Amino acid sequence: MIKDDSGLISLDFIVGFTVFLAAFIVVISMLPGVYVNIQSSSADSGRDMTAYRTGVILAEDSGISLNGIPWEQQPPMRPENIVRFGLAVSKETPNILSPEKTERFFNVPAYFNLTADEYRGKLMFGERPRSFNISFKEDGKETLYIGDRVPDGMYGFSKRYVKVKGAGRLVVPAENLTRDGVNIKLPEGADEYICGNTTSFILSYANLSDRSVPPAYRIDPKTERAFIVIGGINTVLGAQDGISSAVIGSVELLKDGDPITAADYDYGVKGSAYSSYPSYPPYICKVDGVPVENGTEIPIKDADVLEFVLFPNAMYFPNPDSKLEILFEMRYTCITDGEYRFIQGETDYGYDSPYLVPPHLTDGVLEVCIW
Amino acid sequence: MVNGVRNEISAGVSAGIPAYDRECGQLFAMEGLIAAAIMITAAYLALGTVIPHTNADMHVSEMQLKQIGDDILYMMDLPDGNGGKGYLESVVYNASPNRGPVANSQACAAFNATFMNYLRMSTGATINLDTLRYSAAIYCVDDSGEVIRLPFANFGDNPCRNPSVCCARYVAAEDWGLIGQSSSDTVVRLEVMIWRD
Amino acid sequence: MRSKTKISDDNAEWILLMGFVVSFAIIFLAILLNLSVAAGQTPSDSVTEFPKSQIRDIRAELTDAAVKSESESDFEAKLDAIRKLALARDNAVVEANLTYVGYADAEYGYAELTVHYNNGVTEYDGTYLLPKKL
Repeated sequence: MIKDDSGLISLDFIVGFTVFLAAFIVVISMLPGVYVNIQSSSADSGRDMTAYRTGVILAEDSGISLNGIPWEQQPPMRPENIVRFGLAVSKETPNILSPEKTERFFNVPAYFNLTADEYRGKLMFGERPRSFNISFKEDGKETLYIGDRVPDGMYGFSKRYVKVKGAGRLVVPAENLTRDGVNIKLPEGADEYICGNTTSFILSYANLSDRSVPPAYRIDPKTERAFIVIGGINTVLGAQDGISSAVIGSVELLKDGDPITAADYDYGVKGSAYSSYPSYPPYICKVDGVPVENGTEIPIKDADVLEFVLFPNAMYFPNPDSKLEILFEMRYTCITDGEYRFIQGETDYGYDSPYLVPPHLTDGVLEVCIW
Repeated sequence: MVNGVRNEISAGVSAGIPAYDRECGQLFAMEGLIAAAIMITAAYLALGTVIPHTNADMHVSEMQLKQIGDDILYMMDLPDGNGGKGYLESVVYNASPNRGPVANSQACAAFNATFMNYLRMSTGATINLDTLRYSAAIYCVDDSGEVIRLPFANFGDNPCRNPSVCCARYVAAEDWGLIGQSSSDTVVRLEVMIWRD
Repeated sequence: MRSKTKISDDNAEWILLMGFVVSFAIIFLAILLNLSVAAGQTPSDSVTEFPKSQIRDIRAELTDAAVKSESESDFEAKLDAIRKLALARDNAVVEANLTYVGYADAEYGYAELTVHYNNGVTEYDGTYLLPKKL
């Protein structure tokens, strides 16, 4: 080998190295272009796809909970039992929403009181922290929403049209609940005679869970409210002058004949499933639109309409042939002898009852905005 | 000076030195050139292919329109109560050609009112621009097995050919028959093209 | 002192050959990437392509027809109309089969409806038991 130690670089090497350096500089200058494109594309389509996915999760799915009890019936201090939200009545009824789930999701009346991060986790937003606004308007009602105000700029959007499943109602005129010909004789020397009897409504799971009725129109006291409306009481009781007062002394719920107590409502933790209503059991009586406190007497002699709302609970029907009985203990105070017509007796709450107003569907629209 | 020395050396010894010695510097140059070509080609191809991913946007708008259209038709087809008939069924019943032109135009007007009402429904959380327009048609099967298109209601024209989506729903048609043909209980397909004005 | 015994100095050939191999490999992968973008699907494409509303619609319509139709020929007529319309307008093959099976339990008698839908990209088969109270 010829030894060249003059310290001079050969021309060929210089040319090669220069070309290499020039190419390297060109390559490096291309680098900033990579990240610009990747970022902007995923941001835009990511927002829209997140909004679409959230719309599907809310409108077409009924939600998941950890313990088999519907997510909206979890105790408010255990939000970790909710795995995923969903507003649909069931998986087989997409776009048909359950009002109980809607109330719990939009926190109206306040129940879970979740933070925005908990909403994001239970709606599967992913790691990217996104602001959201989910709003819902049912025909004839106010708009419900959670989240921040929608910005004027770009946001991902998804709009779902839905129907809200109304509750089933048993609308009974008071005359049809009466039994005629009760003879009352005042005891000797007494001013009045208090006659007690019971009026009850029986919900039979075998009848209500009729599989030939589609889930969109089925009455399910385990997951939705049930209404009983007795109208025209004053025309029956009030018209009889011999009755000085008529009250419902107490309301009892009987599950297969056994009274339901406070212990039944606990799922092993303190507080009942519907503890937004302070006392148990979870029902509400309204006389002429005014709620009566649970546990007190309900005077009904001059009432026009008595409305009874039974709130859902997953433990109501443990067996396929269970019966739930709503028992009103009635007390009539009579001041004269005679033949009276009292409200009493058993009435079935089922699809074949002539008084049943089955669940109907109301229009609504659900909008999801993500930014 | 350097060149002169080298040339002198190479000229002086070229006779007695093998050929590879004279070409050993060319390898550096070739190496450099080839390395440069490799880098530029690979970098250009690899980095250049990332850019086209941004075309997701134009399909999102169509997806949203299709979702809206499918939802509205589904809502109109849901019966209000168990065993009832959906609103679309009564509209299609009146739109049957053997019902007469008066009933047909009534059906068009009823469908138009309901459909536009749905398109304009909003929760109020965002500004809802009333820009959605539609054009509907009913497809049915006639006696000979052909698929016939009957124009139905529409709101707005699409002369500039804005991108539109097609949403469809099968509707049970009671006592449906074309003019001059037999009527029967059958199924028709109501198709709605929706676009943004 | 010259110690080489080889005739030619081909040390750089390895570098050049490796350079060629690496560049061809990178070019091949880059072409693959390039083609996959052209054939790729955006999320909204996938959403639009899956016939969710069509399948739900066909299922609801056939279930209604099965429950409401009074006779086999009635159901067959409706199914025929759906078949022709789906093929002409939706480019989809729809098949259904309704059998009044002998399966019955204590309270309900069941009819079995099988639905088949194939639009060339997505294929769907479903079997439904339609309960009827005895």
